[in-house]
Amino acid sequence: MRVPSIERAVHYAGPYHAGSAFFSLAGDDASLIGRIDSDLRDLRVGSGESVQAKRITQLTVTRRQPRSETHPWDVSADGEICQTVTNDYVRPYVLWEVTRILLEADEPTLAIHAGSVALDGRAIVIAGVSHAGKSTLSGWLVAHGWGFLTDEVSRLEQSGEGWRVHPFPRPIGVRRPTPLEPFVQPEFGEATEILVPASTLGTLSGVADLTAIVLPERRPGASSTPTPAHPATAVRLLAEHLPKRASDGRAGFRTLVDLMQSVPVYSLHVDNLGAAERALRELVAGDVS
Amino acid sequence: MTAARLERHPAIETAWVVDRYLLFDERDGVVHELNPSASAVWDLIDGARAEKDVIESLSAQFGQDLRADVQVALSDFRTRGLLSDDPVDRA
Repeated sequence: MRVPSIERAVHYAGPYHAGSAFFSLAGDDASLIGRIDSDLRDLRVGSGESVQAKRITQLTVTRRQPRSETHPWDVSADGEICQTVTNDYVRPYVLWEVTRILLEADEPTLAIHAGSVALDGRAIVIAGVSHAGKSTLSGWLVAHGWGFLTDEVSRLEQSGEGWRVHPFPRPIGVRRPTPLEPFVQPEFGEATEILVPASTLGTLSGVADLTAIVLPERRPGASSTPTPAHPATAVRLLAEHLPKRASDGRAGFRTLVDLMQSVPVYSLHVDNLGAAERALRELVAGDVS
Repeated sequence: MTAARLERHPAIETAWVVDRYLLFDERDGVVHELNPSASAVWDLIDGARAEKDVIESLSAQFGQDLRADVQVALSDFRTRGLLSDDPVDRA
């Protein structure tokens, strides 16, 4: 086992939330730690919130010794190196580690690979296959007045007859060109792949009641109107991307089936994001049967 | 004469959703969605019936010879590893 050179790690940031878990950040490059801290701004622990007596995972990003031209960064968690990465990949990789901290926190929630946003305390989960446009739709909705919960891991908790969605406001991964371009602040530069904290697009949401599950799909010429989907199809789609499916096993499958049978599921073929936003606004207001 | 009884693989968890079965395979975490016809076949796989019993039962229920349809469904189940190795009933 290699250990990182943490004695050179003199720049600190955090602490941050990863769901119910906490982590902090350290490293030997002030500029990089500053950029990662900026990526993670929506996960920062509030100034009035105490983390004393809480377990805090220490993520460390240090320059590799001896220096490497291709993979200059060691990323470690609690002193053990997780990965050696390139300049381009170091920030996405740290984000991946943050997600891992969340998923290993053993929360009493069902974690599904999906975005979530809320309007007036009523949440929708935006789920589906990769590259279906989940992050773009989530970002667009936030830029148009919806509250952001997550674009990656939706944390669902059964509550009485219904379900509630807990926030995990990781930055939104945006690949350019994007319909979100008008809303992206100049601070994110011209890179083709950027991490955009949702708070730079709009507002963050607290815990919200789940109203519907939406399965978006890009389809030119579509009306962007939600149509009821078969819950079995939704279970199959989500199970393919269940972050913890190996450990959740049969119980996770049962919970997913219960979820899909208790919350309406809709397909949403998206052509025009503005039309989709208006249709989803009607959906959460209860104007779509 | 021997008759192979059909049995669900013990790694498969089954859930009925509206009009069809979902099958969860705990070996690889994959969820299989059966259509209503395949669900009717799956419903009769109980460790007691053989293939001919399933064909006879469904053919009688729907008033037509469903041998080919049942065989296609069973072949698909086997390909996906949803059935146990056929236990042989030598009674």
